[in-house]
Amino acid sequence: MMLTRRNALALGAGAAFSTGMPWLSTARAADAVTFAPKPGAWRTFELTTTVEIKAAAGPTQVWVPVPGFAADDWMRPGETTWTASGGTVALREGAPGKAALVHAKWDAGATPSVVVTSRFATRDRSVATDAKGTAASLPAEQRKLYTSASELMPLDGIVKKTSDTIVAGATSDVEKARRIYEWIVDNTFRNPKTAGCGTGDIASMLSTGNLSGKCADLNPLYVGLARAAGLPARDIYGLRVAPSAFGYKSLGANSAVVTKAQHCRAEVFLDGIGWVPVDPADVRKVVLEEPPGNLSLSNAKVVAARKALFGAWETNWVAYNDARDIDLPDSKGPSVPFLMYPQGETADGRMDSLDPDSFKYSISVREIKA
Amino acid sequence: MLAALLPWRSFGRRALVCILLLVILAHAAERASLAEEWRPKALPALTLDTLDKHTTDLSDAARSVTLVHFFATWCEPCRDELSQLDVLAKRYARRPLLILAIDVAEPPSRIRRFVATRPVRFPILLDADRSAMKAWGVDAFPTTFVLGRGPCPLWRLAGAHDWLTPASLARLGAALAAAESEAFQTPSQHCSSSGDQS
Repeated sequence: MMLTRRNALALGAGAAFSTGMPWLSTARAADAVTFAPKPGAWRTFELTTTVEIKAAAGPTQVWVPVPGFAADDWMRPGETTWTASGGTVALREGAPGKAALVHAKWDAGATPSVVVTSRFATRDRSVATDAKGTAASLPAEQRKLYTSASELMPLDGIVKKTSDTIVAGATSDVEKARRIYEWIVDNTFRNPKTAGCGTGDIASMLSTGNLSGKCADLNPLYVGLARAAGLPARDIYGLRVAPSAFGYKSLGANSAVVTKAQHCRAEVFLDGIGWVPVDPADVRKVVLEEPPGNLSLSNAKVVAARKALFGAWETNWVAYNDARDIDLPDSKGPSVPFLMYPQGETADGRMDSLDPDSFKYSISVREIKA
Repeated sequence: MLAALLPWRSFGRRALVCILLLVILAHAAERASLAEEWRPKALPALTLDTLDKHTTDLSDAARSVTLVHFFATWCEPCRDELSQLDVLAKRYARRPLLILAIDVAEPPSRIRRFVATRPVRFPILLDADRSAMKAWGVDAFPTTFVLGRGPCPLWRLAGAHDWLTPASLARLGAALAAAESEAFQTPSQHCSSSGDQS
């Protein structure tokens, strides 16, 4: 058989299935390494985003994502305030009921700047997936939303085909969700050259066989494959705000300046269990970046992270929103596939949100101790 | 003994070289085969602004061989391929080759920074809202459509393509020759014979 990209993909999936869950065989070695987030005390943080546009061409607009995602057991968004150099500023939504953002507008001739401050509280998560629970079922409207396609997340064609291959023979939703997780970990890799967090163009990834990227590629790939398997799933966009308490340098914000610490995660909804946190992209981040770097999948730190990140998150991270295909209020430009970076627009068009040095913005964080 | 073996070793070396050549030719043939014949019911529309704020469409494609190339700056294979397309633009500067490189869904400032370090001799068109990408059925980057004179659809190349292989150059050269041979005729309203150029 000629080895093509596509059947290499299928072989990769087959290999993962034939060995079951490869991390199990080395789980004992991981006992020496601890990565086991559990719900504990809530931590409160204050996030400050500063945007300045030095040479604005004509009327200028800025959209700053703020914490708007709420979950009773792990995420409590708090008050958002701002100061601005004139203009008009308002707290708005980029999508109905979702994607909270601060929208600032200035007329031509202004020197636009805005400082947005938000508070939020968060705590670690751990959800048992090995026992049938009694969690409430997902309302029909939400089930429909979280099993639907989006602009960059088609659920037919190669996405459906790949998902079907991965979950073939699975006898439960938990098994399907875990198989997809293991497949992502086994078959993708983090690409340090990917700009920002990636684009999330999952059909392109599967079509080209280039399964590399960063969190906004790999975790939406999980979400797309899960949705294609009929499982409600969502990607949640946010920012790392604190170091990892488990000593993982690659999985934390190790400075008060978090301008480039954006991180996207994923959840899958399992009947009886509820929303389950997953983060296969962070397993691949540990592989690539955890010192000394380029770790093998059998490395104890990787094994421990892989074991934990299906069902648990260390929530040294703030959730902004889970929205996709967002029309920025009053923008003349196209919708954005997700909102994790500040966005700006002048008469010259949309500014480059991945270039915080030319589109001047900075983000800092501090923990509020009781 | 050693001398007796030498002819055999020489034969073996020649055989090895032959096998390697066959592998390389097979690989080249496989690469060339990535160019699928493309016969849509109707040529998709294409009217986009360029990075230089001009509006461009396919009106200049009537008497040319046109490469409609979809890319993004974040796509690593696209970077090499843009460089190769620039080599083609230089090589065929005096022949009827039109290259339209379409960046998909990226801010102009990012593209300007990109082409500042990798200048190209053809226009960059902006598909800010992915409408052209959808109209042309693109689902992976890079993807290139080759149009013959008319413009008539010829081939669709999904994924990275090596434009500088002898097979690719020969194919493009044949299409250019076909376009040139008809250059002083009225462009055909029908594309049924365009496949002859392949």
